[in-house]
Amino acid sequence: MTKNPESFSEELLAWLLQDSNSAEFSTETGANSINSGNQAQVEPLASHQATPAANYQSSNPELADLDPLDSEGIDFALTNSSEVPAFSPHSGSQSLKPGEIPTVQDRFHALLKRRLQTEIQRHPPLFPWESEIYAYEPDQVDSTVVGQVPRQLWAAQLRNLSVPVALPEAVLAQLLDQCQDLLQTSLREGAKLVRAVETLFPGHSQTLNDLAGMVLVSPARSGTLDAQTGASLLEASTKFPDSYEAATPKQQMALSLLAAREILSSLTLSVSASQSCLERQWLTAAGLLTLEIRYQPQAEPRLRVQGRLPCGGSLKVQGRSESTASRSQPGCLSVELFDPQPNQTYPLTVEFHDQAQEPLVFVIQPLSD
Amino acid sequence: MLGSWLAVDHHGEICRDVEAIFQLLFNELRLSTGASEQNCTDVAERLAQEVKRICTESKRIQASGEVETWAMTLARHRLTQCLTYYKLGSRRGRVELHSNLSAVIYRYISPPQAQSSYQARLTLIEDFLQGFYMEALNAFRRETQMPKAYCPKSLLELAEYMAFTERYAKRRIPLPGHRNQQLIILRAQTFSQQQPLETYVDIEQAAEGASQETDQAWNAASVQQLREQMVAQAPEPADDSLRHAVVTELMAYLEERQQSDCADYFALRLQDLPAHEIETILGLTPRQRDYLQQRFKYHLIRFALSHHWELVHQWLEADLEHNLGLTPQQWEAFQTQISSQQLRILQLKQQQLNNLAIAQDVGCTVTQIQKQWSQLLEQAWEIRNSLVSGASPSTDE
Repeated sequence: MTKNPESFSEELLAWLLQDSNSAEFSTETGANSINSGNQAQVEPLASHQATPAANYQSSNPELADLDPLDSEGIDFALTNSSEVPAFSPHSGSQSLKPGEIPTVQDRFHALLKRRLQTEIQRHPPLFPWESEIYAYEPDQVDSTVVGQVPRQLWAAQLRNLSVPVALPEAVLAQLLDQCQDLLQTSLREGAKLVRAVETLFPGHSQTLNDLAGMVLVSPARSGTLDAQTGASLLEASTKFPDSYEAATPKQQMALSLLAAREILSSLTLSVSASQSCLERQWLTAAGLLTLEIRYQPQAEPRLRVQGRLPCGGSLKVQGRSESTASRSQPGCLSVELFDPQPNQTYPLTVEFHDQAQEPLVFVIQPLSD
Repeated sequence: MLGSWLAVDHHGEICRDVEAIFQLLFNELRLSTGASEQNCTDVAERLAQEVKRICTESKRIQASGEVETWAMTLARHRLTQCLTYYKLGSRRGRVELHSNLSAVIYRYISPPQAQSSYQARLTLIEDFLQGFYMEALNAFRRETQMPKAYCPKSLLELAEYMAFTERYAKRRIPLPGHRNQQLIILRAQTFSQQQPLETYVDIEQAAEGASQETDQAWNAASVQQLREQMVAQAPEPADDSLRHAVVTELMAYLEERQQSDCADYFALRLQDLPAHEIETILGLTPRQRDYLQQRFKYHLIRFALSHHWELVHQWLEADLEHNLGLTPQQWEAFQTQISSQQLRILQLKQQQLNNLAIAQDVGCTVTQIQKQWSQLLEQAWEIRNSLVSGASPSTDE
């Protein structure tokens, strides 16, 4: 045969793959690329021998594994010489194996890392002091969250909050607790939001205040942030991440504030002369709770609440007087409050029997038009 | 630590800056994490100490006259690493660290007798890294002067540990011949070769030497010995740099043609991995891998014949300086076989004109020149090949 591409390519390939020696040790240039594996760094060490400081200020923010002491200390000890060994950037560069050429090494590293990740994600490693993987987060809340009975009964509703990114249940439970406490205070809305969230982010009041201002101007219950009014918020948090865990602390603050606002608004039942009837649903672990509020401002002013309970329980509304109703089976109940004053708030307490959980408290707010 | 404190006093500028560095770190940690004030103080303190130590001990930094700049840059670097892991969180952070380190050592961990396989290596890597995490924890305790029982408790401390572990793994250990290697790779090799425990300890000491006061007492001679033993003799074949050039060019060529699966395959081949391991890593069946291999070879030939002929012909010692690898008689014959235009192209190529200039001279397009040139190379190749393979009688006497 006169032409044999097959043998030619075999030969060429064999030459390319040829193992120059059995040395497993790469030189500076070659091994240096085995760092984070995402950028090709072809010559940093060579230049860092000459002008370390200049190299440090260079564009690479990761600085790779550049640690000036790394290659110094041992040489002193070994050579007993006070002189910094003279590195020759090119020495030994020929003894690289082809697989250690930086571009190849980087590609191999990235390829392998991707492949390994699929396994490792399924079985993340444990560190020596661990017997299971802890969340380690957030750093401060442990003392307040742990030890409390989570409001599992009422928390079902929180999964449907219209916030851009779902929040972890532990965070939601904490927020619900805080909101319950704050609901009847006379704080302004912004202050309520900050107070509701600050136990999750202790020491960040100023940032929370700033963010709360932006959260307040973004449209409520829209599910997405308004592009204009929420512009600064978006700027602060750029794009919302895939998950709460992946969010920056500032994004987590913004998300928590948004969630707190949603929770507070769901727990507030506002009626007025022009909008005298309001229905609110709340999903519980026991089923759907439906509340219907009727406000009659004229003649004999009154507030009437009819509740449909998914299981036996009670309703209580408090003002100058108090009205309670209770039943042992699922079904309807109603309570009534006379002489409600406009712009006052009146707590409405819902409790389910056979559920060792704290009651859920709403507030009814009759507004003057 | 006292030793280094005294040293600090000789460098007043560091003293002044330590507070500034601490403040920078503390403020950033406060702003970017949900950690408690105490937690941020502790971590910022440890990082600032480390930066100070490096700046004080490094002769290179001291000699640079830019100690302040180095200190700030180092501090920012440590901070960035720490915050990166903090943001990833406990689970994703450890997956990142683990996969990164696993990929670094993959090649150096091989099962003893049995032929290597992806799964076998993974198991060994897992074992190795478990030990390594312990070693890194000990190193962290030692270097930050934390109690022997210290363990990270908060997310910030965990992030600090993970960032430290990554840096520790990548510390460069100098080797004879002005070479050096990353600590984790040396450790992985020792682990893989199942060397005796003393060696293990020596490497650890060698690693510490990079970061502790230099007056520690350990047997420098034995480490020297060890290093020499670890480094295989390194012949330097003359054609290595040519091979590297061809490999790099070929990678670029494959990328340009969007043959990244071929490039992946080639990268794996270059690591001496057996076919079945390549199949596992790429997620291919043997049949698919075989097909990929064929495709790769096809591109290899195209690469060799057309665009990057100079490099490849250098390998063949068949570049123009060598009359395309032909004997004088063959070269004569070759020149009579080709058209006058091809002859002209050949002459202009010998004068090292570029294709554009040649095209203008000959009066055709650059593409046509390339095509003609490929034909010429193929013809020369055929002539050479007939000689090498002995399929036709040699004309060389």
